[in-house]
Amino acid sequence: MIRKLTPELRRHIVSSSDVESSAENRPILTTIYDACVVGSGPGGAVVAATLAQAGQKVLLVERGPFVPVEQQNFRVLDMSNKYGYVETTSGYRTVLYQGSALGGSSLIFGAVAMKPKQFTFDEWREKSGITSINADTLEPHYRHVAEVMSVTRQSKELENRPNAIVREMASALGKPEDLVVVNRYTSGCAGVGLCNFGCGVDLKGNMINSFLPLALETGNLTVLTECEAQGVVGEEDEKGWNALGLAVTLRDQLSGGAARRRAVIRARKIIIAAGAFFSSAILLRSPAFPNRERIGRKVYLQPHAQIFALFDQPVTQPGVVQKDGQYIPFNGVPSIYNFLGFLKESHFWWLASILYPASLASFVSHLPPKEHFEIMRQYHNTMSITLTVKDDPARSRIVLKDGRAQLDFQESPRDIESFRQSFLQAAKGFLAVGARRVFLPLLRPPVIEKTSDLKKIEALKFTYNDLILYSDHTSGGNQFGIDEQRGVTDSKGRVFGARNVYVADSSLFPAAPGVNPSWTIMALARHVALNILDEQDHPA
Amino acid sequence: METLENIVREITSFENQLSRRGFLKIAALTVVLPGGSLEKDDREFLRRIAATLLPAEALNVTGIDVAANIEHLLRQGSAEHRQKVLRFISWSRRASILYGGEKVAINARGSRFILVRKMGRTLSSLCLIAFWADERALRLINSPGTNS
Repeated sequence: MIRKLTPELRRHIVSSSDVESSAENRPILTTIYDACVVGSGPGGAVVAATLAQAGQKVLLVERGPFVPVEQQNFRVLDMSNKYGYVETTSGYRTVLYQGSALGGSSLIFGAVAMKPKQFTFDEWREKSGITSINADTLEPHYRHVAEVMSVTRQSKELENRPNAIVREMASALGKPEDLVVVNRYTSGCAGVGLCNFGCGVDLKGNMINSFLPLALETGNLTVLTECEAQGVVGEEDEKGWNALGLAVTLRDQLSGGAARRRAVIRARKIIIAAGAFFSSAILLRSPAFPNRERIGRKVYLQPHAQIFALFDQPVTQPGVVQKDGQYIPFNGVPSIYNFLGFLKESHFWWLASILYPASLASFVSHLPPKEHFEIMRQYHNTMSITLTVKDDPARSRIVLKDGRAQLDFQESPRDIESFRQSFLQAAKGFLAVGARRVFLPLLRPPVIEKTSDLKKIEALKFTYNDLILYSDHTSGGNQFGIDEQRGVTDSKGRVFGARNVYVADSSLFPAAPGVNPSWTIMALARHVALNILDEQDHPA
Repeated sequence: METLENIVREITSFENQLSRRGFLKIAALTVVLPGGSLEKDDREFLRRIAATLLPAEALNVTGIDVAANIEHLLRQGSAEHRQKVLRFISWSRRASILYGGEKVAINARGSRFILVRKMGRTLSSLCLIAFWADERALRLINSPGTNS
């Protein structure tokens, strides 16, 4: 069910500029809250809603602005730079991408809701030593999220031509049983296919039409946007490290994001849910924070790459959508299947990707101009799949350099081999279902037009530096573990050594999830929030 | 994935490489005002590059001004992203002297330096996105079922 942020609810969403300009809002910086939540994505919004519904006075801080749904449309020129925030791994060209507006990465995700396979939960147990977080114990939380977010199993009736090709590829590769029909956060997708622009028809479940309205309806939540968390402020006492508040920088988008002032928000509990990159950075920037040598270690990218194919026939939907004079060139639910046929042994999976002319233009920009133009003219004969690798990096650690966080990263030979296998199998699958040409995500890709060209992939030598990769599934860094040697937090998300600091996002994952992570982030966030409430009711 | 985000990604990566190698620090020295738009020379530079990447007829028929579209894209995003892209364009214009002027986007692709190859790809992508993200370009796409 899509919930609306009514004008009444929006009164509790305050920007940093509003704090300065209105006397009514100034108490935000002087109130002592029961909880301060950092980040409004799938982790933070769920924690804020759970605590607010239990009567806790909560302040949620978000780095980005609030972009009302009325400002969304389908024009690529208007929307393609609105919600995202970009970082890269150090020295390498893999890019970390996350949402940077109220609602966080839920604004830019493709709305695919999947639970990890059992072998991922087994891996989590092995790495963390914790047995109490598993598919069974998380199930009630998955169900709660499913209800709020309208998680709906997709049906074959929604299959458009790109999805049909993904299905045919699974059969051609001899693995039809590994094609999984996905759930999505929508009960009535219009099939526009531009989920990454926020969904101009507001039918995609995200945080600003689900958990945040629920939380705001309680009257217990205040949201402060354009407010960047710097670090947790606290002190050591006889019971351990005690957080007193959150140091923040108030920014002003209107003046180009300039810092307006610094402040400390006071709260009895701090819950960090700023995404795997920023959550570790915030803890590392916190003065005298305990056990900092473990924070930010072993971050997983779960990187994505797109493979394009050119066919002799049209593979887009024949129709286009016209809305308020806007031409929407792609039509159909973007992905109803995950193909998991190589996940367990080769650590990758794929699904049909969102594709529109400008993204195709960028992807094949390495082609000579004449050839590029000819491919663009045949846009309706192209499709792409998004490959994702469940990675296990050789080295990955968030470090501070001059106060700025950086992900020191080195891919492993295993991950390179996963990419090679994914290129090989995807190209093989595309050619088997009639593709005339396959385009690989390399700076200098080989031409793949026939089966004998597959040998070129086997012979390829490459590193991440040669690939066109991005990551919006970043996880790890603050893994839960049975003790301080195996994790940053305990099984309830509380940071070891700190009495009242918690983590509630993908940085808790002990290993990459091997599926789209958002449903699990929300389930874990609720697990953390309910444990916070339980501890409060039944102190040790 | 959104397209301009792709570009910002490329540029972020590119700047990281520059700073890592201490190579041509002019990028960091290029002054860009927050909320600023393209300089006149940069605008003209982008138009000339677009003319090497797209058929003249396509540009004429559609009337698309690639530089204006880039400015429009930048206005929608954060100040941080805007500054990165503007800095990259200014730097590329200066570096283009070594790579055939307006042909830099194409010539740089053949460089043996990975950094220069990235510059070529990023410039190409930036101009091509600004063209193909414009609804007027869509009339150039064959109707479904019509092969060229």
